[in-house]
Amino acid sequence: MPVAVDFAARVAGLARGPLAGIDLEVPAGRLTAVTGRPGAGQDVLLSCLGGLARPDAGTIHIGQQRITGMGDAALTKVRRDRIGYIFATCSLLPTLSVGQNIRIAPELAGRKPDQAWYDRVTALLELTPLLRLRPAVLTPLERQRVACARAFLNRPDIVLADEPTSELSHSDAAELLGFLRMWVRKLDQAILLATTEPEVAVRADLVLVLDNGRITRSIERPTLTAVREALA
Amino acid sequence: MNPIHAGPRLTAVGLALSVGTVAVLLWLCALQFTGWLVLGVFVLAEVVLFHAFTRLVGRRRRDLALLRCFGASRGQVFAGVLSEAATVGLLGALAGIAGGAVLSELTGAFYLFAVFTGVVGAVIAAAIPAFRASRIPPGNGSP
Repeated sequence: MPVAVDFAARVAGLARGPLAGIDLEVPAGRLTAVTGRPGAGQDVLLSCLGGLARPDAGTIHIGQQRITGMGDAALTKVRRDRIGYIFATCSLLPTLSVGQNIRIAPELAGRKPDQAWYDRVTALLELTPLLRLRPAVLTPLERQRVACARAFLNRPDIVLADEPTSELSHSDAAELLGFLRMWVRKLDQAILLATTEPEVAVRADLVLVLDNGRITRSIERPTLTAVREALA
Repeated sequence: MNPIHAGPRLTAVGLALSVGTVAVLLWLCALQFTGWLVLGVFVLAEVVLFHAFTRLVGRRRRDLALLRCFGASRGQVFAGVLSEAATVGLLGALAGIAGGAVLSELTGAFYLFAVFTGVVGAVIAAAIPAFRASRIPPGNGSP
């Protein structure tokens, strides 16, 4: 009997821009990287998965929910409750405090976040002393950790991380990837990370290689050589 | 504060002009002026408020796109801008009442009229900018 597999997200026949009919399944509870040369369309893929762009063709499921064909109101709720976002550049709202930035989704939904869980998320990301500050006074790594806390707080079906390390130094990037991996290991969070850098992609459990608008390779337990070769 | 109000505020000049024109309108009413002068100042107040909120929404594009990305609905964005307009209109009404009380004897009906005119006038003026704000597509905050 086949083992029942949980998927955080599923894409079938997705076409838009450089993407020419992508099929892919993002496994639950793992860190998956989608990589390719610059312009291969990782960013378009994440925008479509995140409900920020509508595909020309194909279907997308987030968890059990099909988001293609949804109206704006329903899609907004999916973005608020089921998806977490970490972007390349600082995507924090500068006039809100760090704490308000982290709580943004539940507050927009008119809910108070579960205090014990909020305290745990902020503590695990070492943000507790920074909660009252404004994003402008934080370091780039601290800001990305705030973006992580915001993305993780809702326990979304999937966290989409679009080049989350591209603005960070080498050591900061390694540290941020450590936080992402910790979340996957400890809390079974599914993360899909888009990157053009093999050194980043190799930290994932599964690497999908995007080329010519399709997923051309899928590398389990990747090594740097294997990823570099796939991107060559 | 609800995160829907995140982003730059009205500039000091925009706020002063908005509150000021509403107040002047109400002072004229308190002094029992009627006719074209009052109508002209009313139109001026609407134009000033419309411009102030158009500029405000323009400066908030990035914040609003991010808010939409993180789950703010179009309706929430629309109502968020209108509620700020209502607050500005209320400030104008209070300034109008304060000044009006100095200029003449005010009745209870005038207080109601002032608050109604200030709030409803400001909401009408901001309706188009608020609608435009609600149509800003969700995005990742890059320009």
